[in-house]
Amino acid sequence: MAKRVSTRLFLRTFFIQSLWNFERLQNIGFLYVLYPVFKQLYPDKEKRKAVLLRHIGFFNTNPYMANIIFAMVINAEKSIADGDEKSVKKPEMIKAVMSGPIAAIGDSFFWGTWRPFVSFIAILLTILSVNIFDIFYIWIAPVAFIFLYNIVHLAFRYWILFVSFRLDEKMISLISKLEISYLGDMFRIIGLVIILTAIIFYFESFGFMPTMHLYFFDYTMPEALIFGIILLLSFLFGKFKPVIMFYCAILFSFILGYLEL
Amino acid sequence: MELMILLSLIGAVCSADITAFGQFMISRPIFCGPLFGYILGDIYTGLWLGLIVEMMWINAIPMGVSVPVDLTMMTILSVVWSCTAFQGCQEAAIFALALAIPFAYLYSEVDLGGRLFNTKIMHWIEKGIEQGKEYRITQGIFIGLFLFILRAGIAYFVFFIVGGIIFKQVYSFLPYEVVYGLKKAWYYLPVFGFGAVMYNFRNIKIPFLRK
Repeated sequence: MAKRVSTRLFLRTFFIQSLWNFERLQNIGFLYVLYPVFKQLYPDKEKRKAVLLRHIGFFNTNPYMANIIFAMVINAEKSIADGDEKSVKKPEMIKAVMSGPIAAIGDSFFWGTWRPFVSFIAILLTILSVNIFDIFYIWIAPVAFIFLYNIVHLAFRYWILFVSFRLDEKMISLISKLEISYLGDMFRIIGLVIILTAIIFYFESFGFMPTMHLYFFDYTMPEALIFGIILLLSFLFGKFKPVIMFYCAILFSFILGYLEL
Repeated sequence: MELMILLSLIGAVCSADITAFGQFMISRPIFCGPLFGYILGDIYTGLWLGLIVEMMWINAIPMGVSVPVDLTMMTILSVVWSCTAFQGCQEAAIFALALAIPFAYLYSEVDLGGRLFNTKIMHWIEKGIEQGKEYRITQGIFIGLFLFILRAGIAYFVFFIVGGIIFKQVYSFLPYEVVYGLKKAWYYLPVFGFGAVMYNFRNIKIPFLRK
């Protein structure tokens, strides 16, 4: 069944949060993804009903990493459908035990590391295209962002589904061996270099010297002070919400306006 | 009017990407800002506003039951208002962004209501399964997605029109000093953004120096 069902199942995984609710979070999404498999494994309607009701409980994990659970639950359900009565509680156990840890890995890698990293590249490309290259290349930053993010995201989601089918329980040891935090630190160091480059290019255009643009940081502000201001702002972002910081910046702009600086 | 309906629909699809479908990150400001700027003929303003929002809210992502403010709506509203009323005017674009934030917060409340309604649909599906109506699973998923796009689309349309009128009226009455300050903000908001981004690196570890 694997390949044909998996491609269909893969497309269905994009809908996992379409009926996200506060009571049981992704439970209907989970049923929707696995419904064609249940239909194939349990042709008898009454048996299928019992399975569907068994799976309608609380379910929540990272939507990208959910593919691991889908594959493992399918393997367990296949054993149950083949008559292995010992496996009856296995699908629920997989859901309960795996959801939390793999959600933590997915959140930390994809949303805590990879997305910000790709954003950093897009930020640098934006600043380069606006200030250094021709304005004609301005579209490169958003296109690069969406392309880089999704090439990794989609490939990972597709790959992990098939690997989980094949490895089943061995997947747990494979995940535990993955050096996600090491990878995260590597991306963060490269990300830091990218952002520092973006800051330098930004102030090259608007800061260190008078330019044809509106110059705001052009007078008497040494480079060290600029970086000091950014670090101070970074500290403040740790203390206050972005929306408060945004309106403080707007208020600051009004003060500058009134002082005509 | 047709353009506003079309923009509302595209905006709703972008917002759906936050949680409801796919999560391909077309909802991120750095992408949807320039997209709407391109549609309205000013990709530069769209990209710059997207850049500011992306940097200042770099860590905002829906996780678990938390529903952060809709950055997609914040970006799209500001791009559409500024590009339709005062195209190419940087100070107007910043003012549009400042005005779009309360609207995005307002929509977060509407979205919360929608998610509460999803619980009712979920119980309807559960009852359906007990009665042998399994087709309700598929129906429920698409009803949930449709309602999400519908409420986001209506919100975008209303906010484009109502917010657009408020934006034009208020901006026309702003004193010179405020407008001058907003012009400055166009250039130093990214500096605040750099501050937000640098917060990401607060406890960075060098891998090869770890034990």
